[in-house]
Amino acid sequence: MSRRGSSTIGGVLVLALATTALAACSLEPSPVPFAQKGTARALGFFTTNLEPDLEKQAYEALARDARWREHRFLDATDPGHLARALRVEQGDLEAGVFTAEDMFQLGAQLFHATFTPEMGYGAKDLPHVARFHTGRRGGPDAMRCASCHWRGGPGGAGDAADNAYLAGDGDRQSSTLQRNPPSLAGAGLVELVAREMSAELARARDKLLTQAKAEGKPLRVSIAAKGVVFGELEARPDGGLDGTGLAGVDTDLVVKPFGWKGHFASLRDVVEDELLVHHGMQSTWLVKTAPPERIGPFGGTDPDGDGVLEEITEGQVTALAVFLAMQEVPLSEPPADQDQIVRFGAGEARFTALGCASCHVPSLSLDDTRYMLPSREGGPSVAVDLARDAAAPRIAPPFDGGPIRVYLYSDLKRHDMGPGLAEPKADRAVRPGVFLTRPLWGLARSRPYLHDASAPTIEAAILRHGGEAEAARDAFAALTEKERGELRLFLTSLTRARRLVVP
Amino acid sequence: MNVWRRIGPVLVFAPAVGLMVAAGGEAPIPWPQGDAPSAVELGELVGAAVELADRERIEEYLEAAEKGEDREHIFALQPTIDTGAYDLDRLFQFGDSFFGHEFRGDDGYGDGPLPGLRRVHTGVRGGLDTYSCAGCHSVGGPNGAGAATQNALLLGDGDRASTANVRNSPHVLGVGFVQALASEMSFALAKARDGALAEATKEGAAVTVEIAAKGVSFGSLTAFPDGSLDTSLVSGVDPDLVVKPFGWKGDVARLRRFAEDAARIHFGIQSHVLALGWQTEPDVPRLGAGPNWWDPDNDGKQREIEEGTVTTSAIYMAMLETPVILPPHDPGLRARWSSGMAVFEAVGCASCHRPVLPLDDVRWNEWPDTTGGPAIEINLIRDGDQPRGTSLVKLYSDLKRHDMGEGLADPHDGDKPLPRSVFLTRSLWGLAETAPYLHDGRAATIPEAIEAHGGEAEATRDAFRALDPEARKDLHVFLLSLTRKPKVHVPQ
Repeated sequence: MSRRGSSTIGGVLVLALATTALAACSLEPSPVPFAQKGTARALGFFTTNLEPDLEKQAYEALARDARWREHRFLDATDPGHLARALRVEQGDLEAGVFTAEDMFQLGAQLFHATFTPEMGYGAKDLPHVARFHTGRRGGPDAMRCASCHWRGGPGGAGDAADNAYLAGDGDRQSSTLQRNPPSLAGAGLVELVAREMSAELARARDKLLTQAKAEGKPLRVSIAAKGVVFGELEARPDGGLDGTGLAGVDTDLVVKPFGWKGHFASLRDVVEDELLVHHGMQSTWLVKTAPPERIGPFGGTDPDGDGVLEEITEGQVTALAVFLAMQEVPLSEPPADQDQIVRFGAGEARFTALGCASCHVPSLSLDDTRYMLPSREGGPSVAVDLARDAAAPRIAPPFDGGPIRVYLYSDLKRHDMGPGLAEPKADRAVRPGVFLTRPLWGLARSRPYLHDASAPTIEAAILRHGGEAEAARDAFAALTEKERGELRLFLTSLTRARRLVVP
Repeated sequence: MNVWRRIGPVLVFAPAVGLMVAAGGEAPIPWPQGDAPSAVELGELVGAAVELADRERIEEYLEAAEKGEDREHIFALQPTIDTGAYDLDRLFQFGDSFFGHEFRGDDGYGDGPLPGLRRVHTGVRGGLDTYSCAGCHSVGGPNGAGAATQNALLLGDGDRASTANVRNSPHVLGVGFVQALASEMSFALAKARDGALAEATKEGAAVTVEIAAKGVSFGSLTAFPDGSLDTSLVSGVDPDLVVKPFGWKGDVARLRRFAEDAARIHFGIQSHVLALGWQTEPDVPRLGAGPNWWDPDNDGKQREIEEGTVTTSAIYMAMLETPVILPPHDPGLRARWSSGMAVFEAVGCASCHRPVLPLDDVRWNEWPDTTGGPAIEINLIRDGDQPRGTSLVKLYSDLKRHDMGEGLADPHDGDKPLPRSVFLTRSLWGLAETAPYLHDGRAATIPEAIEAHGGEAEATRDAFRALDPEARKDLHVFLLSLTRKPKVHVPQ
């Protein structure tokens, strides 16, 4: 394996960095990609296993750390060693070369990788690091995914300091939209539930259209998925649709559960956008399909003009998406103290009684736990079964039988949260005060709260609710301190499995 | 669907195509200390992690059950500390709770009831960056360094990033040793100055002396018979000759002041000590206009943190673990590590990044500010989290300020009369776990950071560039061995 290109590009780059400091990095364009194709290797730094015996778990975590350290030394003697190991090719994934565990590891290696200018970090016409984004181009503002997703465990949430400042002028905080990095635990299940909801809505729409045609008159019905009502849809006999009565979902009826305002339907879309705006790492797919205002003005195969081609392969996008889909499921861990357990029970009842549960729907059903990622290159889907392959703890059918239920505490629907939480401007066509119901699973391990991290505590977050949640907020505010404590106890039980990690 | 069927055979097939070594499961584990951790060591590591996780979980539920419990855990009164009511472990726990505490309106966060985050600081008053210390020290483990997103944007106009000086959060490990070393160096410099003054008086003539501490030269000064001093040739330290080892430009001497100032500029949390100072001399730019001395930021909260909290946070930081050096496991890599260490010396890195500074007295006395109570004594090589280290402190810094050249200079003047391009030699212990590098976190990797050196380090940087590429890699291997001991933690 030669390191074709790595040393030459590296040398030029480092010099450029040293001389241009914080200004835009000027790079000599070079047609040579940094890494070789098909060099991906799962290096044994990560696992989906959660060993119940704590000492064994600690031993394995330390062993993984030891491997990581040794490979990091190897990377110093052989620059590009780690970068080549995460160069995943879509063809290999589609051909089934990698096990689910390998895919998880490869995705995790990407998630923890330090993106360097040699790998394509940054853009010719953007600052080297920028705290506030420039429009849809992004910062870049970080060098690793994991540096903003750390709290509460692997793939966790970001601190308030890690907030992203989107869609700004590159300089003023006041020009931006503030976004706290959410925890990624359970993300695969969220996507699967949303996909099933979208399919249910599409079936309802198709049925309505057929009916309207058959009856020869416009029909208007309430439209729902998994028990969540998304307003009313009207179908005309000529096949036309009126979606003005819809609520909480776009007129395409696709439930988009990712992003604080519900912008992304799939983890693949999330991965691509975050790599772009936070690291300036451009996927080959976006290079082919996205407009210059997102990927840069230089066109061709290197639209961000940094001299690096194929910064992110289709396979890397897939591996990262599959890794995120395989994130562990948050769980509920009630308090151990006897008095607290009683109050916790009362709090759970209160969660429903106050009206919290009408949007933070405790659970949604899931028919199929297989996560299939259809190929965009015409090949077979890449698939894992989250009930079998995902990181532990995994989703499992209820003890008493029946369908699988995902306890995410969300209806995956957008709601108006009132003027108190509204931002100065709309975000990608979603109105300023409108946000997706944030899933509450893992809540205790994902502080601070709300889209802008403006709430350091759960209670502060509740009290900031408004708009459609105003009645529930008022009901909470009217409680005695002791009663509020019950609800806080219940919400504090929403946590993640205990895990020993070597940071 | 055919993918499903293929996974099975592939599993069996994988080793044959050479993935076995890659997967690591079957290959020998390259333990950094040579051997696998012993059962005893594992037990201790797990015990410590689980004990802390249990305590934090119980405290989390206590706070949920009864609001204000969290605050109790950081609330140490200095007069109570003065009575000796708390042992070092308890004081450490107070500090640990402080480090993780999410400051909020009830604590006096900011200066309004619901202030939004303000990432660009407003002058010396600060901003509102986050809610807890832990929020910006997450890289490499607890009490670690900050990511690029966690950079503080100091002394700006409250909105525009371009008006601010950027600061990446450093790790806070081993800082008890740093504080003690700097204190001994300050003492040595003061002694040299006092000696020169005495001699000048005795001789009736000006006396010029070289001043140095722990083998680090800080230039020279001239003492006059009238008791005055010419400090214009003093270098790398303020004219007061106090070595200030904290802050990227080296402007804070004591951990207690460092903690107090961080709480003030990052959370708008004002210590009672600062309020007491405001009473005699209102520092309106830094603290606010009052009108009451006990609440300078006028948010209706007084004693936002106690003097005792300042004390416990200083003791806590002094008792945190010490970084270590862990060479590679593989003999070949280890050879490269040794030659990298030699390169570090040969190229000249070690002239500022001093590998070792000797500490004369491993005892540290933490004195209160106002109560006149006794000091709390810490034995730095005995008390606190493991590993502790020895009195030969492998800091990789001379604790002196140097001009780093225009390329690294801040875009704006600071609040102290220091040139924009002057920075304290950053200690390198723990380096491998603290990316990104440099004061503004611009460098993702160690080689990038080296390349950015200029000014007084320019010749060394040029020597680094002139090295054989393999020697540069050896140096990189060596620098990656500056790390922290691998420990297990339960993420919180």
